Amino acid sequence: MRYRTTAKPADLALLYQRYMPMVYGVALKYLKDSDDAKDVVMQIFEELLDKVLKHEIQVFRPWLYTCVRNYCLMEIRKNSRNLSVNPDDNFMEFCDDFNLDHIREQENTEKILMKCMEALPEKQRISVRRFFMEERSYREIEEATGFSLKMIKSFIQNGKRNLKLCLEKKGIR
Amino acid sequence: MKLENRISDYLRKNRKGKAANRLERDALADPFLYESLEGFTDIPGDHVKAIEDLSKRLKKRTESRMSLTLGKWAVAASLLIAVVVSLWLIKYAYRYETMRLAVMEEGISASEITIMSVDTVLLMAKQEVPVSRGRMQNAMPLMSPRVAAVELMDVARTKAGVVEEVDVNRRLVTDTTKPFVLSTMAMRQTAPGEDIENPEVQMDQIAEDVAVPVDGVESFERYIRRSLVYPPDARKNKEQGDVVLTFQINGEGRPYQIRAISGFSRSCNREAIRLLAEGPAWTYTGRVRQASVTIQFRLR
Repeated sequence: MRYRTTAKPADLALLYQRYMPMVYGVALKYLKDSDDAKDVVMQIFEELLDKVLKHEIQVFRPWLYTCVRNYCLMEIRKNSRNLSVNPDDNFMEFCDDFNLDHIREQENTEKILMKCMEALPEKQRISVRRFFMEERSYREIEEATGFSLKMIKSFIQNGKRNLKLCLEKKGIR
Repeated sequence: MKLENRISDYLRKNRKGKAANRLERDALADPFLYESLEGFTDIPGDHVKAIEDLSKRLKKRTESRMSLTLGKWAVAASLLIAVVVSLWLIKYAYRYETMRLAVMEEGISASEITIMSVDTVLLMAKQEVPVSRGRMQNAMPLMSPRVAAVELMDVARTKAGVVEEVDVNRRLVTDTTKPFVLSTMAMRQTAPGEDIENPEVQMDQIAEDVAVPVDGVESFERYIRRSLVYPPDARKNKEQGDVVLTFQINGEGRPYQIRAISGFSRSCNREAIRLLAEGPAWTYTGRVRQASVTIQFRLR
């Protein structure tokens, strides 16, 4: 990272610029207000100017993510002292790319996949099919099915998990 | 396509299409991306514009930084001049003689660590100094009623007079009639076996704006004793002395902007900074205030 040797804010800004949309998105998620989130994005940059020089950072991206989260949670705690925020209340598992394509390529495995799909509860099946097979975005599924975004996400999460379990039982993967 | 462009694209196209699906699928394996997409979808607003705004702000920020640093240099220079002038005054104007007061307890070995509190306090010392005045309040609880002897030191740290006892009413009795600056107050650990109030209890009384280690001074000293690695070159050259660090404390209690304002060897300065940086958390004192600590390097 160039900034570590030059200590010029402009160098760090170059790097930060790339992550700014994501930082802003996360800040928005936690603070729920566009202006607050913008301020936090800038404040985090200020903090980074200092932190980056002091900490050994192996990989910038996950490190930045942790910084951003911590900063946002701290900000929330500052603003509402009695309100406890549980960062893990919407915990979900992140895993390697879940890909059905290579399963669908082979006839015999595709059959098993279809069987597993049928075994899924209806809403999960619909969501999974649209998301993983028809390559629809959340927004499109929302419009097509009338499910709410939150529901779609959880259908996809659960459907994905059920599907995986089912496939593993049948000896795929 | 770069991720940041993919995100803007995603927002611009109303989160529809195969590219949108691909981004959302990538997000399933990437918590950072996932959470940011959550932010964009859960909170309504013109996010594309917001991101553009931010880019502009960032640019402005880095440009204004340049002039800001220039300003800082100017401030630093004028401060330096002020310091030089006041040092001259101290030296030549009798009335402004400054002295350094160190408070220590009896029965300590020199290898122990000195913790100093933050403030610089000007006291007009006559016969008695009511120590409840001004900022000294903050530092006061560090001096327990059992502080036995107080030494007055001048800037060069040579003994310049004796202050008798700090009595139970927390008055500092001194024999000097000159004004002096109480710039640092050192508190030393008591010798083992001597009964002493729990220092942490005393720390609790300290007003919030004085930085102290969260777990108490004793525990901090213990940490320093255990973790100090005497730099080999300093050991070889038989160098010993004090390193005074100033620093600020962030919201998480971590010291940052640590600077060695006085020291005796480069490697010892570095070691002192390392100790503080990796050491226990401190109480948060807000952004502006500076804390300081002295770390002693003594060869046994």
